[in-house]
Amino acid sequence: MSYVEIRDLCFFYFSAKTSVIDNFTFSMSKGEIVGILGESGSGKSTLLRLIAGLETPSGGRIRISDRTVVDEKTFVAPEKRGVGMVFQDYALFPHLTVAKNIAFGLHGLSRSERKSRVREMIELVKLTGMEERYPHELSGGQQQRVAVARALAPKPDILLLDEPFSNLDADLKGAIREELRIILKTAGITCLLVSHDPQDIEAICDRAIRIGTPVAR
Amino acid sequence: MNYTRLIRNIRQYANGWLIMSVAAAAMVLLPLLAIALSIFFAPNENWIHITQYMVRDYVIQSVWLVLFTGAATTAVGGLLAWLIAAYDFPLKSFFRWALMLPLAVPPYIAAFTYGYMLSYTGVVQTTLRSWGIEPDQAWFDILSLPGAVFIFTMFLYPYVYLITRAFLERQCGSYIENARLLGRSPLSIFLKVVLPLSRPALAGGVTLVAFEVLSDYGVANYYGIQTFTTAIFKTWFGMYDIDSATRLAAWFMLCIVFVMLLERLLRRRRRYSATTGRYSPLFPKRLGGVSAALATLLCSVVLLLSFIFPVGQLLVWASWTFHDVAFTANFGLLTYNTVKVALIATALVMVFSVIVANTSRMLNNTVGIALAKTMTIGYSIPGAIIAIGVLSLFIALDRQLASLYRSLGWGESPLVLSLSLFMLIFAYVIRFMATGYNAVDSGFEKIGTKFAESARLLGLGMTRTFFKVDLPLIRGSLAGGIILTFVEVVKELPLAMLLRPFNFDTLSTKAYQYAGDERIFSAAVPSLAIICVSLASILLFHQLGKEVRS
Repeated sequence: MSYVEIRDLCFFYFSAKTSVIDNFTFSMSKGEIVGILGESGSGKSTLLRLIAGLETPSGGRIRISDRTVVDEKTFVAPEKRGVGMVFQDYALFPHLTVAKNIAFGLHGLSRSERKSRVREMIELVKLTGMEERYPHELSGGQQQRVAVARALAPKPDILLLDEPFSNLDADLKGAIREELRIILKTAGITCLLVSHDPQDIEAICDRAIRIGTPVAR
Repeated sequence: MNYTRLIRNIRQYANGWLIMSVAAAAMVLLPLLAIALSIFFAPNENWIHITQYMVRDYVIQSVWLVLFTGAATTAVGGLLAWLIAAYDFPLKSFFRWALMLPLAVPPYIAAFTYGYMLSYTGVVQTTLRSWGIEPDQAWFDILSLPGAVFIFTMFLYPYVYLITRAFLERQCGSYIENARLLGRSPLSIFLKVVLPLSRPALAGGVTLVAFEVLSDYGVANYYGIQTFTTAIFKTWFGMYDIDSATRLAAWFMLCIVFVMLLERLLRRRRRYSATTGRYSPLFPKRLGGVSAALATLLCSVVLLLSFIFPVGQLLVWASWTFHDVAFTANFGLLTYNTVKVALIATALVMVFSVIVANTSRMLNNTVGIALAKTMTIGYSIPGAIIAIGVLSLFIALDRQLASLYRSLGWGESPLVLSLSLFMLIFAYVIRFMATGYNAVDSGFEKIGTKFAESARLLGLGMTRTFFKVDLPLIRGSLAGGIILTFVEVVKELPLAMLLRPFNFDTLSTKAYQYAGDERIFSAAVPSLAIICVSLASILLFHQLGKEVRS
């Protein structure tokens, strides 16, 4: 039984003639890190948004961890899907500190549980000592780690990463890729990563698929 | 779309936010529907008289007023914007912000101030006579159509000036510098490059001016010009014929809708891509000698006429009457009434704006756009029409509730709602919803949806997301919206005149009453109070804008 199962997923905008995603079928097992490779405009970000519940598919269904989150009859709201996502530009809340950003999704926990989970996350992403900083006081790589920690803190079933390296300097990419791979492996999270750069995917993922128009080799 | 999907979609979107938004949109639309329906009832005998003897002149006068004012504000506002944006001359940085000050003076206050200043006993003619000059009265005949155009131009040009200046300063530097490098003269750059490029900005400003002129009651009535708004007033208070007034309002509204559709249609074909939002600042060029002096002179003349002379005159009058007017219980009551009504209306406007703007951006579809459009419709509908719509709605409501009143022992079919202050507040909310809504909406646009989306994915529902993430991030825009809406309500005249409960006065209605009763000097104190509130808000808003940018 697959952990994440997507069947016949379709998505198109009402105004557009062609569909962004056309009968996409895909599955992955628990703990797997899968990369999705595609040109810009191939619908890879849309795919993540559909899984997260930020867009509604025009057809098809998505199951995560044996629960149907969207099909003809069902639509589970994003806050109830158990999906974590790291946005392309991280979307760290500018009015909250690092610790408060990470604690943001832990509102169901008691104060002490929350505190220990935040500490755990800070250690995981190696940001000890930065808890009280604001996002704009961090480097790009540090911001990314906060975003990963924030998304992982509530223990989602799956983590989605949207172009995680597009905002970083080229010469830093190698080191940061390695860091991220270690974080994800340590957390043992099921992860779906989207990128236009084959190197990103090679460095981090167990397996890669390509969507959109196939590029001739 | 099949049935199961429909059910799913309804479940997905139907939450408290959507329900409240639809209710808010209905609240805005109901009074307008109430007016539109009146077309289908049989007219009474007054209507024949009105159509035969009044409508034609009123339409023509309204159209002239809007056209002349539009042309004049474009000229004054556009020219000043260009001078300030493209050139450097003595006192320029002072004029840059001072030229927006006339916005603090409501045109009806300016109208009676100028009316008296230029009269036989006014300061201008008495001064001339003291110099031994006996001027011809015809020179000072401001109580006329050209006079009204002058007043509207001098006190509404800042709309055009501010929008156009912002556009020129920020977005068209590269075009103008290119034109300069290509060897064009300043005049030819202005005519061939600046004017065509800033057409969208000019049009935006002039549209606001046109709405203000159409909505005006104070200036037209005081200067004896017959416009559609004064026609509605006359039918209502002169003939006590609300049915005909409603019918007039309905036709007026149809005209406005028609003009707006026409404008949309005309514009669709050519869109100016200049407003792409790409930042391309214009670096001002230094003027020297005669041209610098001329630029300073022009700005000074405009500022004197549009702010310093009238406000100075009001200050002088106020100093004569201050003790008789300001230190009375009545004046305290006026201020209290004004502030109370403005605060309640502003609070309601902001709450509804926030609810609908947030729903609209979360829906992100045609329903969302329709909701947003509905909320802002009030700004393009003149106050007198909204007043009639609200009144018809409330009278109908009172009729429906008559049995309830009877059971409460309030007598046979009394008018409870339609005699209450609630009606005026309701009308303010509809009329000025756009001011608050646009501020909130631009705040949301600035932060985008990504923060809200992250919060949702971290397990917060729409409401908690709003309070924990969106609200702190749009605080600045919210403050701006509150200030602007508050001032609009304080300055407002026609709605207050038409819908205030018996014996209820605000600063604006009292000032206008004093002026109408030839007690100009007494009108100065409440007028200055309004101007002070507006000035303070403008300066505060200006400061807020600076902080946001830095």
